[in-house]
Amino acid sequence: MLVPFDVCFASLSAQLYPVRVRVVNVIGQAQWVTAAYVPIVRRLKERSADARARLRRSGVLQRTLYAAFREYIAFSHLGFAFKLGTRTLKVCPRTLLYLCDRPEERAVFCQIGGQCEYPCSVCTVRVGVSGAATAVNSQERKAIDVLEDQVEAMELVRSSRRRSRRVTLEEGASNSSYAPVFGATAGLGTDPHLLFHMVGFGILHVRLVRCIIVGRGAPGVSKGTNCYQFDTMKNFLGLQFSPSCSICRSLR
Amino acid sequence: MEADLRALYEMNRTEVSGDDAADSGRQQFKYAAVSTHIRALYEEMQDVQRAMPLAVLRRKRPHTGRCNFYRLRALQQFVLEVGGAGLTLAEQDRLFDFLDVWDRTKPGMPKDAGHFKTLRDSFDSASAFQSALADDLDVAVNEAGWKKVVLTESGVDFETYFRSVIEVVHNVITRTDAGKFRWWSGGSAPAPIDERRETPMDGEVFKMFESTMTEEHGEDACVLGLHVYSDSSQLSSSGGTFSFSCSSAGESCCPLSE
Repeated sequence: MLVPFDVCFASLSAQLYPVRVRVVNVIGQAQWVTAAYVPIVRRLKERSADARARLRRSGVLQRTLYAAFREYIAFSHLGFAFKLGTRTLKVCPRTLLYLCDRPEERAVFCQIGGQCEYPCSVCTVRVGVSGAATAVNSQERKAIDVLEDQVEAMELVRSSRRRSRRVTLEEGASNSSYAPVFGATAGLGTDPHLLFHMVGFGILHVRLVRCIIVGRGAPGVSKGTNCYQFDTMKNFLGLQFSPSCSICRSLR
Repeated sequence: MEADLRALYEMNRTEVSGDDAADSGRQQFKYAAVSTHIRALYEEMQDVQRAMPLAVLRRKRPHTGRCNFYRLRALQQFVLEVGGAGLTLAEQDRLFDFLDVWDRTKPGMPKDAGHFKTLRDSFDSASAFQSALADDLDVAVNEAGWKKVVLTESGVDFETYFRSVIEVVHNVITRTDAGKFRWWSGGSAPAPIDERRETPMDGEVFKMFESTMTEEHGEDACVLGLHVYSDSSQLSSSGGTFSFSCSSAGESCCPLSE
């Protein structure tokens, strides 16, 4: 029986938002399929409400993502067999792009949102120098190191031990005490460690369009997708980025 | 009405002559009663006189009254009232198609054992009908692999819904026509990295994964690229059309010249 699943969840749409996936090997019109519905976490009236809400939001998102992607993560390492005529293919799924907006990006990477010491999701530029020329020399976040810190912090939270160590780990790169689920996926958390390069923004989410797109034209880039994958955008478009803008730097 | 007003004007107003009247270019009157003056002002605008019937007729001789028996009148009432505002034109199209099937008059429709059965033959009441719909929906949702779980975060419970992404991916592969599915970026084999950017499979990352897989597992290995989308926040009202200084985040963004 063919059932429009969005209809089933339509009454809950005020409290949930969808996670959708698309297989890029399918040619033609992009087909997005809903794989999960994440509850919207609201700020409660309590002590340090903002911080707690952020932590809850990150936790709920990561746990929902893990529930949906659990087997996918296993198959990304092992691959699965698929019979194609007389051939048996070994198919390995790989996550190429995570489309979201900037607050969601911080939640997906389990990084502290809003004002923090390290506001860039991709590099370790400090907020105090993010507009300065010296920001150009700041190092990129190394997925393997960041993931190790986040896993340690998550362990400490779950065992309610060594709060000071956890706080130090969080402050080290403005990470929250959760490990990003996609860090367990092959290719993102393993070689070539593309975790921090997987996020792209829908073009409608980009408010700094003039800052980012210089207008050289992008024939073919947006074909099949309505977004621009910024980590490879420079190659795609030959873009110019402002060296003194940390957001531009993060998109390089 | 017009005659009444004319009589009223005769009794209540006298023409005023002077500089103001000359400047305005229209006759000025002095009224004995303010109520008449008000009416005269609005009558002068001729709004009622310019008014036209609300509906612009679609044809010269409208075929009214064709819903002329009980069942069609009930249908008309349903179409005009359902959901508070009635059905849209597109929904009316769909309803017509559905009723065509229900009346067994749609050309080429299949015949089965229930071809001549009525709704009452299957459902005794509205609640039985509702239950049947809900049951089918529940089973379909479960068959599609949807699950729910309660997550407790900092003492607060959240109910989340999910299904296995790998099963979704399997379904996409098996249900897609072979002609619309590309296993390799080059069609029958991995393509080299080049300047071509027609599909997401032409990206450098995809091709890099492909070459790694081919090196490790041979020619029968391929990569299944996945894009994920989730978005908890709303779009900005600007629709992404203006730049701003990110002072709130301590960052300053400088637009580049084109």
